Amino acid sequence: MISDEEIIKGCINGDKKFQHLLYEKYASSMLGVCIRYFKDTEEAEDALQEGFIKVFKNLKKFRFEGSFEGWIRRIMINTALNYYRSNLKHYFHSDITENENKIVFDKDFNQDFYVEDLLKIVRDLPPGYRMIFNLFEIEGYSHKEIAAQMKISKNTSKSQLLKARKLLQKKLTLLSKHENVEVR
Amino acid sequence: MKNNYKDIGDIYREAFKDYSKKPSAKTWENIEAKLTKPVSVTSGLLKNNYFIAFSSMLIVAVIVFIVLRNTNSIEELNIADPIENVSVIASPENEEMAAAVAVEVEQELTESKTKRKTIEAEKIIPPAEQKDDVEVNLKSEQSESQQELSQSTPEISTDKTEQISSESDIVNNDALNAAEKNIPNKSTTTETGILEQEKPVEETEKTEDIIEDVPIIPIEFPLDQKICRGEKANLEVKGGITYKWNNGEEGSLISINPLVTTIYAVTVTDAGQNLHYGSIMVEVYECSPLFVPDAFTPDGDGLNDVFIAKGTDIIEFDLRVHSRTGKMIFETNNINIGWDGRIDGKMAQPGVYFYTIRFVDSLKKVHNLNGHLTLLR
Repeated sequence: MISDEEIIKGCINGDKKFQHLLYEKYASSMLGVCIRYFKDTEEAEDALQEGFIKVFKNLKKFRFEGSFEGWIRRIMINTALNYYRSNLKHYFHSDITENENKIVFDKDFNQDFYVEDLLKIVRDLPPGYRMIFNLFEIEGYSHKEIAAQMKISKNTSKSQLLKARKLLQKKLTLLSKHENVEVR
Repeated sequence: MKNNYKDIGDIYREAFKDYSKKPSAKTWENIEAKLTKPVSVTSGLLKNNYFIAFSSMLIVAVIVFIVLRNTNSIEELNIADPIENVSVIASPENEEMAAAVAVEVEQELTESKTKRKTIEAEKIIPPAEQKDDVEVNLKSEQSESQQELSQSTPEISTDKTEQISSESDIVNNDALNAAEKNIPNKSTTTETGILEQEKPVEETEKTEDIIEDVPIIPIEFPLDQKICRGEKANLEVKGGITYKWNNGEEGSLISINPLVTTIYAVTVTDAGQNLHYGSIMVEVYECSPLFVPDAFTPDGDGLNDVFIAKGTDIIEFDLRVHSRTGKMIFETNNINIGWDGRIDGKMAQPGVYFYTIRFVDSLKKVHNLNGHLTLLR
């Protein structure tokens, strides 16, 4: 197995085979990350493409400190954030502060969802909700970080997350009852 | 289990901790194109600029020539026609090539002469200088009389001789009156006119050929593969007649056992004698004697509370956990110790973290592993 370090060095030297190796190694998992941030796969692939070009152009800057996968992943998420920022000027209107209670399902609730269903539902969220939900719940960003990245207030981030979670739960409940999922 | 129900964030975190999706082939093609673009773009543009400049020159020259031709006498028209005939055979598409051939073949000497004159006409160099540039044969021809020229090229038809003589007339005119630029221009136009006429003809021929040869037989190449070191893989190409692999094999099915990640390239000939190229990457992975989980739940329920690697016969071990931002938050050299999900005694945020593991197995082989783990509530 060729180590990441060898691959990175090969890529810096402009060797096409290594560039392809690096791409092959991370493309699928990174599309798995990007895909949650966009409504359709084509957009996600565009972001993946842009992200990889950034990766190749900035490889020299990777100092072999920390995880390379983490570094690539961060570039992908930043690319998704850039898309979000450039496509959306003013999304947030209300700034309601609510108690951030844990939203949970009933005990009898069927919790076995298919990943593809979960994906579809999260991708159907309004862009702002989707961004915050992904960053906070899956990547583990703090509200402070999200607020800085998305240029919104911390409270907005919190309230939008709450709304996103409510909406997701509503849709998942409907899904488990085999009803129409297209509810806003 | 801590609860009978799950938080929606947990459901998602768990579902997507290892979610992956293969991008379409087009994505890599686009990336590859963009990675190689900077070099080709500049040279392409340069070439284009030259091409545009050259072709626009040709167009102007042709127009001038047509105008001049129309105004000139019928006699001159008759002389000009054979020139066309000669150069259609002799001068290839490429101007430089034409120049090279022209030096060798005597009848083409006249052509190269016209070219020299073209250059001269632009630079307004007196004919005396021009002579120095030309090869010995050319020199003698130019400096000598019309008669001698026709003698030195006996195989040329009378028409051609006439042409040459008319040209040497031009040369003489030049010598006598260097200020008269129109005449050399005329000879330029004859040539360039031919060049223009010639190109489209050849191009149409080529495209026709291609249309006729388009194969409809599909060749099926195998997909890229991932194997453990020591494992065998089979690569099979379907739909061809002959196969030639870069490892020397010639079958449609090859069995391979690469020790490192290798790209296999194959050239396939189909029933229509067309060549198809394919390449398959076989990624070789060190299938590790160490098991590393991809998620853990440090909630104190006794189940999967610690992120810990499991393996036997490990001599040396080093585990590091990094946060998203690349900050190292945990390190150990003891394989029996794992990360409890705390950073400086405080519970870490649920989310994605990254690990790097370096270990030495019983064969004293060094392994480097890295990946991500998800901290679940």
